[in-house]
Amino acid sequence: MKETTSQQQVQLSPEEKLAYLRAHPRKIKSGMVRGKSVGSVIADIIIVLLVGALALVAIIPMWHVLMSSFSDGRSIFYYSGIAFVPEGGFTLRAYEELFSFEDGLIWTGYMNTILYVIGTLAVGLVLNVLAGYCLSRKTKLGGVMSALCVFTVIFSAGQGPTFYVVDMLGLTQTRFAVILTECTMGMYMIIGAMAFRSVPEETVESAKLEGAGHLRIMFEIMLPQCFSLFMVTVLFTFVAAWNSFIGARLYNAGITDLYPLQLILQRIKESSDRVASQIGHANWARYPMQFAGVIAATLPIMVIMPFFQKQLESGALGGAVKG
Amino acid sequence: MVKISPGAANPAAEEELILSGSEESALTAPEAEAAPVSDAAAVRENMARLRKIGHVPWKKDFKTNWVIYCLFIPVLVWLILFHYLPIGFSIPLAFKDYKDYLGIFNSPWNGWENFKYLFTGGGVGGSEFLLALRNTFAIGGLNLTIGFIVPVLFALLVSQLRFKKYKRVCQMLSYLPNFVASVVIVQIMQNLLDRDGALTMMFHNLFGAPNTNWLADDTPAFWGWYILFSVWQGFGYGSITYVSAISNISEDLYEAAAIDGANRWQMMWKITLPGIMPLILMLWLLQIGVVFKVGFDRTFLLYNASTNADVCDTLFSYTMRMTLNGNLGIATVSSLFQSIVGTVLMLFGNWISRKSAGVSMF
Repeated sequence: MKETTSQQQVQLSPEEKLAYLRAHPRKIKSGMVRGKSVGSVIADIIIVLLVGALALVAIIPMWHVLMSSFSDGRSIFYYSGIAFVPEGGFTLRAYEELFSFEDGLIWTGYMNTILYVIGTLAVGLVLNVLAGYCLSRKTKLGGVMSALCVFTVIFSAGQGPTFYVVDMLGLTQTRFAVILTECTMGMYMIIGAMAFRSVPEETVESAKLEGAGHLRIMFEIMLPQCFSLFMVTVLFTFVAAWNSFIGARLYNAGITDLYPLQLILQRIKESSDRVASQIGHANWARYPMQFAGVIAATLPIMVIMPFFQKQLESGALGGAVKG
Repeated sequence: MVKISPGAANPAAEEELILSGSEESALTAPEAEAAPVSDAAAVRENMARLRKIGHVPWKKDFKTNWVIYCLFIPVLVWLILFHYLPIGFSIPLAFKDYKDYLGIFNSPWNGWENFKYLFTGGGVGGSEFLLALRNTFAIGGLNLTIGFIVPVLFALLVSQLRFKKYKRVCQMLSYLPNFVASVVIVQIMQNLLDRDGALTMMFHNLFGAPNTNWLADDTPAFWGWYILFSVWQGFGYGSITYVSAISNISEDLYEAAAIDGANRWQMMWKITLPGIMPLILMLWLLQIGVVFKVGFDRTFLLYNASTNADVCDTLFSYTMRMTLNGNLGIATVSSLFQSIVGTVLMLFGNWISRKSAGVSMF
């Protein structure tokens, strides 16, 4: 390969080019590496605007709902665009309607969802930690235990037979049906095993030498080190439990006292839409109640998520398979 | 995704490499050292000796590890109750005419009747199950194409941004829809796609599209709207992996290309995309198996027997409705079918991913 000046066309490998540049620093004009031509600046601006637009598009539907929830019922009903500001004046009537709807049904929803979340997280975490620890240790039955967990990732029976078993166990019409079926999955156990395996063997060995038993090793020594890896699972379980409705719909259908927030939301929407079809009735404040309901159900998650941006991103990377 | 190696009883001889690109299990260092390669018999003898050294008899294993096995019991119970029992019961249920007042043991066997019913046009509108099957593949297919490309494109754009704060804020905003509940998304869809909803009006004004309630639509347009919202929900969060992978591409390559006079589009085409292509391929293949199992909550919520049933029903929502009706025999066949299709596709995608990129799930 001949070395030439930069005016001639050459075939240098990237390494040779860099070596050339480093050897001849004066030949580089500043800004040459990121060519600042007019076209490039324009492209930069377009990209900035495009990404900003997409981010806005991501958020606009929720903004529309938020603004609709502060709107006057009649105005927002007849308004057929995106509500960027509250229509017909800012008012909290929708929220008043929401919290008094059917004697505060929404509070039942909140309570149930919180119970489901706590139950799911607690049971799930216990199972994930236990499974993770057992799968991460070298034992003769380790392969069998692993296979049992991994197989559930590949194949599962589905709603029909699961419903039958839950019914057979007498768990339908209780909260446990939802908690136990949704608390964890094979994937989380595998992630738990990965978390425990990330603790260096030497730590475990030295603990063993000091006579620590399995329980002590697991709780006092390994868990503190790898708990941050469990945080991701906790986060995802939390979100899934907060948004869950399938379980309750299947196992607790018709028992309003056990309805989580999402199912209560459906009832609110039904009632709210009935206003729309009874034009003469004029309890207009009922109509935006559905928007207030959405905000009440979604705001907690929206507010919490930015604080966990880092964990969410690492979860996306590690759990890329989950889909 | 890395290969998970279970704790093996014989670590020296049997532990598999993580991220193995080849099928052979590696000879670890001690084994290689201990095996004089002169003679096949000598090699076998050495391996047998090593196996004996690494071999842990059952008694000893139980003595050291009984606590572990006890700790696993709750997990085992849970797995059996909520995964393996259902699998077990799915066999009788699929072949019986289940009546819930009779229970499973007294319900009559009906052979292949359930299967025949599903595959030869049972149900109200005729061929309900087959339509659900078609819709599942349609929506899943759209998810694998459009739903897959958009996050990649978004990641490519985002990775071009220079201002860190702006980039972080935009990314955070784009993730938020991912955490919104299906019930809420459906309510938003119903609001925006109604006869005089905001999106309907926008499309009417821009493209002359009719002023109808799109969610009551019995044509493939329904799928278009469905995917639009799927993409809206998932593009931000789905782009995270790609943004991270792009940021891992060596700066040197870009510098070298810039010296060659490449502009940013050429850099993107020749450096960035090839750089993340293995990741894209791997995720796509793994997505094949998953996409037919998840993401159909909204079809169940949007289903309306009198309006959009022909396009809205999917395997998931069909199974849900049959289960809720107490039609467990049919629901079980449908569930099984759903699981089998999903599993076959997952294994297929995994196999191709291993062959081409050398990475697999297991």
